[in-house]
Amino acid sequence: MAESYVKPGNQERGWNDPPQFSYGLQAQAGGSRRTPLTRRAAPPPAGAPPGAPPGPPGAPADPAAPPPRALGPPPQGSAGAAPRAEGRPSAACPEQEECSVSADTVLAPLRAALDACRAAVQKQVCNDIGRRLTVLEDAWAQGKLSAPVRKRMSLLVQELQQQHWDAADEIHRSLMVDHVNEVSQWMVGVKRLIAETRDLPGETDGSAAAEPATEPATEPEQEEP
Amino acid sequence: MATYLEFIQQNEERDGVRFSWNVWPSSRLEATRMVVPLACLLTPLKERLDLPPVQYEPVLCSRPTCKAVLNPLCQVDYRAKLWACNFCFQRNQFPPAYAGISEVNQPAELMPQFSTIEYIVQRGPQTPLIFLYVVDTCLEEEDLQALKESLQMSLSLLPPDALVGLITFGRMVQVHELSCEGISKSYVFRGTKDLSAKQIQDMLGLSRPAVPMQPGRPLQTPEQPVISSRFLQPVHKIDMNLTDLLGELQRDPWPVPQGKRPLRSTGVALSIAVGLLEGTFPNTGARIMLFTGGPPTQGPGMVVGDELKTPIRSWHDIEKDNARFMKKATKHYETLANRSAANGHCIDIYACALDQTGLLEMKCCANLTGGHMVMGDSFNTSLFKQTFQRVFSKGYNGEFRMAFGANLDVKTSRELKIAGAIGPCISLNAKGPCVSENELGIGGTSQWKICSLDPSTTLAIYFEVVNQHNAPIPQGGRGAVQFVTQYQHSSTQKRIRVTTIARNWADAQTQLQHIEAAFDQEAAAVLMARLGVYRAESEEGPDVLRWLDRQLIRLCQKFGQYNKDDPNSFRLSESFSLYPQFIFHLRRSPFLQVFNNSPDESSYYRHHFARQDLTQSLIMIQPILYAYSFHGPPEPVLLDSSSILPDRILLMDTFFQIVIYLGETIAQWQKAGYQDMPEYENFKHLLQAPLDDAQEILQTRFPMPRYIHTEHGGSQARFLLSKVNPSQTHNNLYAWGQESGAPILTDDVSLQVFMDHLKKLAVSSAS
Repeated sequence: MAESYVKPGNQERGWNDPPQFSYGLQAQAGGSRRTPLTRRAAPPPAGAPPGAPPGPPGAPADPAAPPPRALGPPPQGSAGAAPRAEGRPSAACPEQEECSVSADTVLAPLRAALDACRAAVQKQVCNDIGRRLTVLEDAWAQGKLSAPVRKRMSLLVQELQQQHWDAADEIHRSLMVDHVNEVSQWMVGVKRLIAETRDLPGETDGSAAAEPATEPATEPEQEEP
Repeated sequence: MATYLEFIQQNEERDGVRFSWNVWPSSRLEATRMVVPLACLLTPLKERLDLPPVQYEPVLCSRPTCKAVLNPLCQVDYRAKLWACNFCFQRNQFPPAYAGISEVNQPAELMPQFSTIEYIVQRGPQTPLIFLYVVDTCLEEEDLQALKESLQMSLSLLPPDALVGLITFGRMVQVHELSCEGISKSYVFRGTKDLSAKQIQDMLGLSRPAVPMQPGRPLQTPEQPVISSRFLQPVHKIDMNLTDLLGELQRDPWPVPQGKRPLRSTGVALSIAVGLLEGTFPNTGARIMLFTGGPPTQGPGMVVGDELKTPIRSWHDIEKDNARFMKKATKHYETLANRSAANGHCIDIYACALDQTGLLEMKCCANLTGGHMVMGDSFNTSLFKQTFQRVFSKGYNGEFRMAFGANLDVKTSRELKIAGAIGPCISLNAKGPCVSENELGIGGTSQWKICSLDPSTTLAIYFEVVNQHNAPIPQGGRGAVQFVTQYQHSSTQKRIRVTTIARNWADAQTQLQHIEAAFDQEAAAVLMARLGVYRAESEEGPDVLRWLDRQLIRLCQKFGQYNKDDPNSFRLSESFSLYPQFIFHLRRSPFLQVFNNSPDESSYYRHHFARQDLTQSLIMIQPILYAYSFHGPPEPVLLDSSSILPDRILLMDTFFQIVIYLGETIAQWQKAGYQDMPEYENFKHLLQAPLDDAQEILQTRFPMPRYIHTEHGGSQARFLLSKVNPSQTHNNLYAWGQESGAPILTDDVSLQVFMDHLKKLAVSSAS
């Protein structure tokens, strides 16, 4: 669900700044920690004339001739796959897509979840979350949020409604990492909302009546922490 | 012969151990004649996807001076339920829980495939992890904004139960009291005056301890109050307030006059951080994370004055004894580092500035505690942001890779003693029968503490064979070593990882060929390199090179096959053939050559060298070079100027940099735009291939490397040209009659010349 993209680094502030990978790409690479390129070429056998190239397949056809002044074109052909040293697929390009999610489809469930929390959670915390949801609403209305942010927020809300707490949390993390300058003011409120909603007592202790209809009355699939 | 490579590989994968010698010379005298000491690289928490931890306590030998852990090398009497310790031969009774064991029903720790095993123990309270941010506010606006955002982002990456705290500093040092109520308070300290731990604790009102913990009772019942203090609060409670607090941080308000540096009180800020944690949470996993954008310019630990016209010390200044603040500052940070390490707290340094920031003086903070050292140009760079994100990276099972408070205890069989260790650790001064009087690295102990580590942290441990010459080979013919690492897992569980290994003894007089065949040249190169770099910290550079050369010559004299005074007859067997090349590249590396690096840069490179595993360490010594061309699939090529050909793209990995270099023809084709033409699509693929491979490395390495994309004639090509063996220079361009590769404009000695000299010296009867 998180995006997979690579952006160039900030060459103005740091020389040779490496490219920036999205959260999605970094998370998926987290599993394998092996450096893929670890082989070394065998040294020339002792006694071979040093300095001679170890017979590379691409030795110039006529070493005695001077290099051609006129540069010929590269070999033609559309080779199928890229000749990678390790056969792994390339990263996807960033997608520029439209997002037509309305603010309300995201904010209404969030406010509903907040209302569900008011009974169990401190007033101050709820007010704080509410304040941040307002900041989110304003930013959305003023068009300050980019399409990926809006898209992923709608996904986050869907996960929240289905009680997939870990998935919602993961989306919040990916947004914090990839778009911190857009979301930092209000995302912590959403994060807290997910955590508090997750911790709500639930139907077992008879407070089911206090929960609004938008919360499905099924057993949460994830374990409560 | 080839089977030893497999043996070495399998052992590394299973136990995280690589020995310089895999068949051990059986007497002290013979061992010293081997030149390369008997030593190993140990990765205590090596990632083992197939090793589920067991949920019980390890069984220990009952002899108080031994206490070795039950392992597959122990003799077991299943009927009498007794086991014999393989280190001290004590016979021990199995505990009652083992009543049901038999030959066909062995506990895991006796099975050979569990030479490495991990135990989860339920001892003592589980205290949460602690993250204390110490933030420099003397930054440019853009940098401060980027840093604030990174810190806010990190709150989402921290474990939710972790405690977090904030200290900001500039001219003054502010300790922020974190509360959920509206008004935020802070305690302000002058940045010029150092304070003792007690003074800091008194002034912060920490004289009475934080919520007392009852030993032995796990803090899981909801009635127990959550451990915290006013300055360190759980993330899940304080995240919103702390996000706001971070968002409101301003640049240090004290104006900086023209021609001056900002007054930065790093020394006092760190001192307060260490004192705060000492007083509230001693002996639990914690990270003090220092973010700094320039050198300390005031107070204890200052590294340079505030006048810009006085530059910060260079190597030249240090050699001429012209670095006035260095000794005092180093001492200040060393004291802090030792105190912090004694408490099990690590200190990370994230230094982002265009000029030096004092890493030379502060390096002990990271090196003694196992903390990270990250060096960048600005906080608003991808290098810093992503490296910082990776501090909180999780492993394959969704758990944080970071671990804390490791206590490494090494036991050896009687014929071996421990000379010392080199790595991100401190000595615990544990004397005992295993400890040698001769020290290599951090010696005089068989136990070390590593306050912060992860699955790649690797220590070098040096041994000494103590058997007397002509004493018979010990019974059973094998020596053994056991590594016991107790540590705090990121989930706050206490775990114990036990690795027990054994190797055969051999009489060097009659079985030298077996010892030779079992030599691990890669491990030996890294182990000698660590010794060399360790020496370089206190000795003069040329002395270290002379020592390294002398060891290499002695090794060649001992193990080379040659006729006296006939250099052309010199041959090295396969298990030694790459070793001289590693030493050649090591001599040219930034670890031993400080020319062209600032003292901070040298400290940075050495810091990472002293803790990486073998593969990464070798990459640092001798970078990897891969070639991409139309002539075949991508392949590794010699790190040599002859590998630089016009119709090739080269990818070089030095660990700290990834360099992609386009050969002359490739660059011209690219300029002509062939990659955009559909009929030359394979050229487009060729250009993309090294980028994709580089990405693999860039996505996972910590710290994130610099990324250099250059071409023939480009100024950045110097990164490649300075690393390759200059087999062709302006001096010998026409010597071989064949033009291949690019001549390097250098007076450096090439590998060929180096080898010629080496052979001459090795075969000479005068040496």
